[in-house]
Amino acid sequence: MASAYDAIVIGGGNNGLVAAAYLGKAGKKTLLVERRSIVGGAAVTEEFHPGYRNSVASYTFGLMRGKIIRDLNLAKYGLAGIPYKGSVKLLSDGRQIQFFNDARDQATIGQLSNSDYDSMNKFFAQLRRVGDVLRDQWLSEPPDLAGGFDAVLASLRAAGALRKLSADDRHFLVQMFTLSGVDLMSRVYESTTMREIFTGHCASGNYASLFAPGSAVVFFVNAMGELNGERNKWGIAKGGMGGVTQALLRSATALGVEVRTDAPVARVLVKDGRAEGIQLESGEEIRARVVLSNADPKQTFLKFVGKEHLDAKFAFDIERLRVGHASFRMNLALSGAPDFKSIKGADAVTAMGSSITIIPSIESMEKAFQLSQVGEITPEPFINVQLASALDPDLAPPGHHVMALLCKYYPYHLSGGRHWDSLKEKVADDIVAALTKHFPNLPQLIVGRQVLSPLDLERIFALPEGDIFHGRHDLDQIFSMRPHPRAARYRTPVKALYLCGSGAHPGGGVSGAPGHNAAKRVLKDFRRL
Amino acid sequence: MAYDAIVIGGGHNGLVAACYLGKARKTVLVLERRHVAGGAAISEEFHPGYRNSVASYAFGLMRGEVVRDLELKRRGLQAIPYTGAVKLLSDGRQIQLTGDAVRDQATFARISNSDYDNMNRLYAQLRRVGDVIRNQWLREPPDLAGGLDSILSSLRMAGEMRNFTLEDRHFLAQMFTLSAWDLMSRWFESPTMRDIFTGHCASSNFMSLYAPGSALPFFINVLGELDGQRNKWGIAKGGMGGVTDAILDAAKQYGVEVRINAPVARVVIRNGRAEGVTLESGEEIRARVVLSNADAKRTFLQFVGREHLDGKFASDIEHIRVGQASFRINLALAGVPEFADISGADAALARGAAITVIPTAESLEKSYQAARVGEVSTEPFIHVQIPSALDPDLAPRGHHVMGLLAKYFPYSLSGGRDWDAIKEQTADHIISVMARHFPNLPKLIVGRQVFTPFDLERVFALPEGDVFHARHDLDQIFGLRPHPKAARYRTPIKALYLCGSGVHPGGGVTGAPGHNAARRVLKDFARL
Repeated sequence: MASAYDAIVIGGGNNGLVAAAYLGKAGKKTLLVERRSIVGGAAVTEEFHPGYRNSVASYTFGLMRGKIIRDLNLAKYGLAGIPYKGSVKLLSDGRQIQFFNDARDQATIGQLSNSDYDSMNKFFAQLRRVGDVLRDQWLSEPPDLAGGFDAVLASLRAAGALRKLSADDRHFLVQMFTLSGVDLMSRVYESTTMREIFTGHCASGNYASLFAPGSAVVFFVNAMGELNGERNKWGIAKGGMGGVTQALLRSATALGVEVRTDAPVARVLVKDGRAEGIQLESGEEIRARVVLSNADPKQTFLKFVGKEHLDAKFAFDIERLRVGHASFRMNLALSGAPDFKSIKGADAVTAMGSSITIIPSIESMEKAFQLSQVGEITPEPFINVQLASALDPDLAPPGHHVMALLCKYYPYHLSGGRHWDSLKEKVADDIVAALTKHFPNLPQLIVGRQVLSPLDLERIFALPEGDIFHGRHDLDQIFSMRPHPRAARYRTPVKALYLCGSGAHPGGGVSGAPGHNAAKRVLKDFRRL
Repeated sequence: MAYDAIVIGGGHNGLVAACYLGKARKTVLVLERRHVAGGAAISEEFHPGYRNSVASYAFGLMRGEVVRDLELKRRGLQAIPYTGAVKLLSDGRQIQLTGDAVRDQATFARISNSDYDNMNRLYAQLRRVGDVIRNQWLREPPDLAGGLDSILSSLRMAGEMRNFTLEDRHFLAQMFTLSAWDLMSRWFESPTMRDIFTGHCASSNFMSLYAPGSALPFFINVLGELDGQRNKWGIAKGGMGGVTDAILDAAKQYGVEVRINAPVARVVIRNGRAEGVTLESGEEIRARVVLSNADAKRTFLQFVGREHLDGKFASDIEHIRVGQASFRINLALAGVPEFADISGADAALARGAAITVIPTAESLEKSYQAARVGEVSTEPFIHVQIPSALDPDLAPRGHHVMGLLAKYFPYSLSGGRDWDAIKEQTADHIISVMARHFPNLPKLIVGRQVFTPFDLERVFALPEGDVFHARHDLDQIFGLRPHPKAARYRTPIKALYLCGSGVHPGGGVTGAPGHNAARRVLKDFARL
């Protein structure tokens, strides 16, 4: 039977949309099917309470590759980045430390240490130098572990890029992949507070002990950040993360991509080891020359493909991918401006538009991690706080605000047979109580809230065990091993089936990179399919 | 007179390096702090009539190349293999493996239908890929700063991997990146076997068994060899002192001078170049090159001094993570220790085995977490060796010596506690744990020698008691050990070399760092 489409993309997350748009741009007849009633995956903006809109899941903007934004004309379709005005660190002893990312920070850090301001600048300069080398690696296929000549060439190309780095920078690069968050930061900073603050950075970007080798790899992801072409900048997208995916949708549609929502996929049709299309849950079959899956590898291989089409060792390895991010996500609708306990006036206005983090001590974070490993919940959460409406007032009624919270560590598997659905409201109350220490008027302001447990993140956004990255960024699950050496270069053991989501290199985050790389691979392969 | 080379420290690596230099007709002086050479690889009479390897105790990593080059067998080095392995579990089970296929298969079958085969598949895969790593042990690691030659050495390794299947390559990458628990739960189905094999990784490092890279010790262990046989372990005849004695004999023949009771105070440096050493006595001795068998921290921060180092390098050396959290006990026993659950001929075999007291992986993790913040484990992991069962000369007839290595016992104790104040009670507790598995043990003890991590540092100059001179963490191995600027045996100080466990391929009585360092020095001599 002739294929109706050149390509079907399963899942309309940011990467699925990017892949589809590139395929459409190359003149391929492409269909994108999305389970939910809106596209965007975890990068969506929704009215979670009447009159209040927010990025309901993913919320920070700063990884989307400039090349993709340019290639797909996303600015024309409405994508705009709004940078954070600084950052605010709320510590467990009640201190509220505000950074403006300008010379004022020297005095702030000077109160903690004589050398840490310089150390910070040296560290970020080094991160930029090293990040520039790694950046290119993000938009290319990782080396083939099975490869002969071309893998050697790819390594040499990377080695060529590395030549630009000094011995010190190379050492740093290797350390980024092998050091723990705690170790790296204790090498950079002398003051305990600065060590805590920056070690805390590693908590939001993975789920690993901050004492474990490789837990510093999060800095590598941070080094990839850019906003409106500026390196190391982060912020929000105008209109929330939905602003990103709606721009992608408009671009893809304009490039001829057909998009169907409310179209959950049941199976990938596999015949003689080759993908021939998909079957929807409705029973409808749709044929295509190639199928790209934006779903995570476990769902793709174990549910859509099925073990019967896979060799046992591969299926076994996919089953053992470590997923889970231990994140608890909330959105609050606020009938006014939340007040910081000790930041006032004009500084408070800046602070509200900043990246805000509640950071427990390192030992407390480690305890929280250990607890979560055995299904227990920490009494002292790490919280990323974002007041998106301070940067984009359209998200809430005038004078009102929306607040996004990402809290860690909240395990997917709870001990003692407890269920998230019966526990989540109580957990949300506890988190609000923890916030109140830093925002005293917060409880009175809350007029609505949306609470997403790790289980909810899985149910709604198909994030496996709530893993926002579709698989942890652990050392054995990145680059050529993401998600498996036989599926790390977007191709999979099933012919004509490709991965295009966060579960493939370079992994999670709203970067568009896996989608871009997968489309490039598919387009190369089309000739001989 | 000036020597061609001075070696600071007469540990086994220092002696091996000295031998190779002596064999190449260089004049060599080895300076040893203590009254005996051998470092942590020595045998002593720790109680009248009872001798044992007092620190390092298991033999199985020494490279065949070194043994052959230095003719160590002719000089009395003799390996005696363990007669199997015994696993003593926290639920009281005593599992004996003998290496006999039929018997071990039956033992496994009581626990799992597939784990015996799984173990053999794991070992087979290791044999296939292990040589790539093993070959690397006797080479300089690639130079992180390097250009062409480091690419060439990587290509050499890539060449050796050419015939590997994708699965083998995946496995090789996992060796370095998986946690012990993840690795073992991929290969074994039964919780018991997972616990047992995860426990293997506890003895050779100090890290969470759930942390990436914690599987590495397992590979180091199985890549070892005894008399040319892979994955075999045992003891050296006469204890680890037997190894040292054989190397000392070689040193003597090669004209190496060994001075004991000669602690070094400083490396003499002029214009960025090592010119010799000053002893603590004040005596100055000159040499064209200086090799340090001491750990990197002591070498650079004490012997060299920060004033001769650039600030970044010194800071990196300060940040090297050391510490193994090991507590070491030797017991003199007036009789035969009896197992709770193994008797008769099996017990005789079991006493000559590698014996391990293995808590569950969960419990080990708790111990690790406690140790990390200075608390002492109540349920220790213990390596038990009864070398007198393999070499009766170590104890009076019918008597035994028992070596214990227990983990995790942190170097830095919480609450300002002092190891000297709690060491005897800690030893008592470890013996009480042992008594669960050897009921008659307490009655047999006629003498004991106890080393806290602090003692291991004081006596053997092991930094924070680290038997490897620095942890084998991912950022402290290969081209990063101990630092990219000192990983290839040369250091930022001209004519100063590292030759001990603190440099590639790291700890264990392998002779490899000594061998590699000597080769580097000999190559460099031409242009020094």
